[in-house]
Amino acid sequence: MLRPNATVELVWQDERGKTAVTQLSAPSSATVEQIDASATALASILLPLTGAVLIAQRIKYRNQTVPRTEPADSTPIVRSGVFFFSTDGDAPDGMITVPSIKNEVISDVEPFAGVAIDRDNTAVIAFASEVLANGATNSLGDALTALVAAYLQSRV
Amino acid sequence: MALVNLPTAQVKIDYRDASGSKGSTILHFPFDTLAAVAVAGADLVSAALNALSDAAIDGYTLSYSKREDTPATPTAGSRVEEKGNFVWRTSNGRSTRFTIPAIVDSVLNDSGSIDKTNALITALVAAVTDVDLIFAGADGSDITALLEAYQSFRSSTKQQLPADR
Repeated sequence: MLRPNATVELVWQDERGKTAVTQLSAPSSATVEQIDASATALASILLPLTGAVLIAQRIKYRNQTVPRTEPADSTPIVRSGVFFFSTDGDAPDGMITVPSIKNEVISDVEPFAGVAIDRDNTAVIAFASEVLANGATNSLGDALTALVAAYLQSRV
Repeated sequence: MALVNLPTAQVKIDYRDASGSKGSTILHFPFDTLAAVAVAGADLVSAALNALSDAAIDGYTLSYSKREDTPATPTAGSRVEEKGNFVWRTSNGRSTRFTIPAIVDSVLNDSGSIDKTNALITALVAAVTDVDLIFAGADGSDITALLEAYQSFRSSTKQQLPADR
């Protein structure tokens, strides 16, 4: 459920390089453009009130799972699945990490049994389809075009 | 000198495993994606992730970030710990607040309260309570008036705050 308020963070930096935030709320029904316009107007009023300088602005919408759910079993969060998506041309690939990856999606076919993620698994296909259908990109904004590799990775 | 947007908006999906440890999945969408569209996409991807992960998904945060490409030079002696606290009345009778780090001395009274008649402060009050700006309390209620304004530091206790705030 989307929370009723979005937050606006204005990040300030002082002479020593230390930062602090002015945080405000805005209705989450407002568009980014509307909130951004208000944040820009407010920042211009705040500038003469502070000796710090504005270095960043963030607009955040938060969604909370209601009711709260419990984990399906004891798979640790560090047992992650890593999914690599290709992009067009020479653009860097995109990577999406999924914590506590289910054992059911790990391949049991040699030579990658226990390491690779089964890309023919229906849950994996559904996930990749949603990622691609909803216009996800890599961090540079290059559109993801296909799931090309996926394997198990652990942080420990 | 301008705030420049990052190439993408970011969705950070938060997980919790049975031990209480937390993790996340990061997704990116083009920066010009409407929030409503990104939220709809994040909902669908989250639903698909439920079938891939044994952890519980607690929610997600959609962020649109901008960075200053050429930051100005802070005033000598500025300290972000020296905050101006602004407490506001909202239309439903509750209050909301925000702080201005490194508040300038010129708007402070001797007691540490903020001079509400100072032109910079009246301009701030006019802007925040103006219907043209979209800011509201955490429950979405309109901000209607400035209730208290005072300087404080991280270690300030209630007894140390100015009585005339």
